Amino acid sequence: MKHWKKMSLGTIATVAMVACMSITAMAATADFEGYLPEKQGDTEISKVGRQDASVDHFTITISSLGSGTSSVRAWTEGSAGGNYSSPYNEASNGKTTDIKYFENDLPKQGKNVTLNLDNPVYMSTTVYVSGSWTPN
Amino acid sequence: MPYLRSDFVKLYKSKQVKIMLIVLAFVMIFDPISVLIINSPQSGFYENVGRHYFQFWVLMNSVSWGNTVYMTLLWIFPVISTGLIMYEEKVTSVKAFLVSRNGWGSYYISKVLTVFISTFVNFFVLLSVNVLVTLLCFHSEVKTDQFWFCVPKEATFAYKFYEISPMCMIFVYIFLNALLIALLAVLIMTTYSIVRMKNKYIALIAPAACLYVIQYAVSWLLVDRMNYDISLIIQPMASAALIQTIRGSDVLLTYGIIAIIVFLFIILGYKRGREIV
Repeated sequence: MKHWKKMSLGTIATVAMVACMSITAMAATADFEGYLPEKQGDTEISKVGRQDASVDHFTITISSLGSGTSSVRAWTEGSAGGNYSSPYNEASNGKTTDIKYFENDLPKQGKNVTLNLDNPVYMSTTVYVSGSWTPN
Repeated sequence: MPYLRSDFVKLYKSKQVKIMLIVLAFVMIFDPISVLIINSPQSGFYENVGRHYFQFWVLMNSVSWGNTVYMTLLWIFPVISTGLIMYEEKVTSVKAFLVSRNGWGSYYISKVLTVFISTFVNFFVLLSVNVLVTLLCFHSEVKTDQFWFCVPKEATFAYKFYEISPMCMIFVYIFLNALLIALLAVLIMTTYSIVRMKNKYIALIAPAACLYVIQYAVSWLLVDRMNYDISLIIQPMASAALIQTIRGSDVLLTYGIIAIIVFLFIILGYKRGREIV
C-alpha cells in the first residue's frame, strides 16, 4: 500500500513538473510573422501569457523586415485593449530590444499580453515582418 | 494687381476654407495636448520614452491621431485651399465682368498668386502652431535611447539641418509641407480653367480623387525608390526610419518636377482660359 502511495505521489509530482515546464516553455518566447498594414494602425501580431510579473519589460527581436523601414514601433496591450507599454517605442531590424511596461500597470502573471507592431512612417504599401518576443 | 486684395478676401470668406482652417487648428492644438494628457498618468512613461520637444514633434508627426488625420486628408487640402473661387466665378457672370475690366492675364495671375500665397501661409502658420504647442507640452532636454530613433540618418538632407539645430530641421519640414500643398493648390486651380466641371461637388471631389489615385500609383511605382516619393519626403520620421536615404538632391529633384508640372499647368490654364474668354 505504501509502495502505491509513493508511486502515485511520484507520478503527480512528475506530471506537475512536466506541466510547469511546458507552460514555461510556451510562455518563454513566441515567434511571429505578418504584415504591417498600409498607412498606419495596430497589427496585433502575437498573444502570449505573462510568466514572471516582476520583470518590468518585454523583449522583442526583429529578424526580418520587408523593404521600407529599418525599425518598427512595438507595444503591448491587454485583452481589454488597454496599453501595457507606450506606443512610442521602436525596435530595430536585426536586433533584440527590451521595452519597458508602464511602471504602474505591469501585466500580472498568467495574463495574456498582445504584441502590437506598427510602421513608423505613413506608407502606401504593406511591410513584411517576422521575429520573436517574450512578455517575460 | 487690381484683384489681389479682393481675391484674398474672397478666399478667406469661403466656407470650405474656413472649415478647413478651423478643423486643422483644432488638430494642431489638441494633438500634442491629448498626447500629454493620455500619457502623463502612466508612471515611467517619460523616463522611458523621453520628453524632448523634438522627439515628440517627430513622434506625433508619425504615430498620433493628429498625424493620421493630416496624412489622410493631405490630398484634399489643396482642393479646399482653392476655395473653388475660380470655379464659381467661371459658372457665374463674375469672371466675364472682371476680365472685361482688366483683362484675362491680370485676373488669372491674381488667382494663381492668391491661392499660392494664402495656402502656403495657412499651412506654415498652422504647422508652426503645432510646434509651439508641442514645445509648451514637452520641454525636457533629456535624450533617452528612444530619442535617437527620431534623429535623421547622417546622409539624409534632414540631418544637415538637424546638425544646425533640431528647430531648424522642424521648420524645414514645415516649409516643405506648406510648399507642397501650395503648389498642388495652384495645380488644382489651373484645372478649373482647363477642364469644364459639371457642378460644385464634382469640382470638389474629382481633383481630390485624382490626387489620391496619382499618389497611390506613384508610391507603387517608387516602391524601390522611396527617396523620391513625395508623401515620404514630407514626413520627418522617414529620414530616420526609412532604409533608403533621402538626400538633398532627391528633395530638389522631386520638388523641381512638381514645380515644372505646376508651371506647365499654369501656362496651359492661361491659354485655355484666354481661348474661352
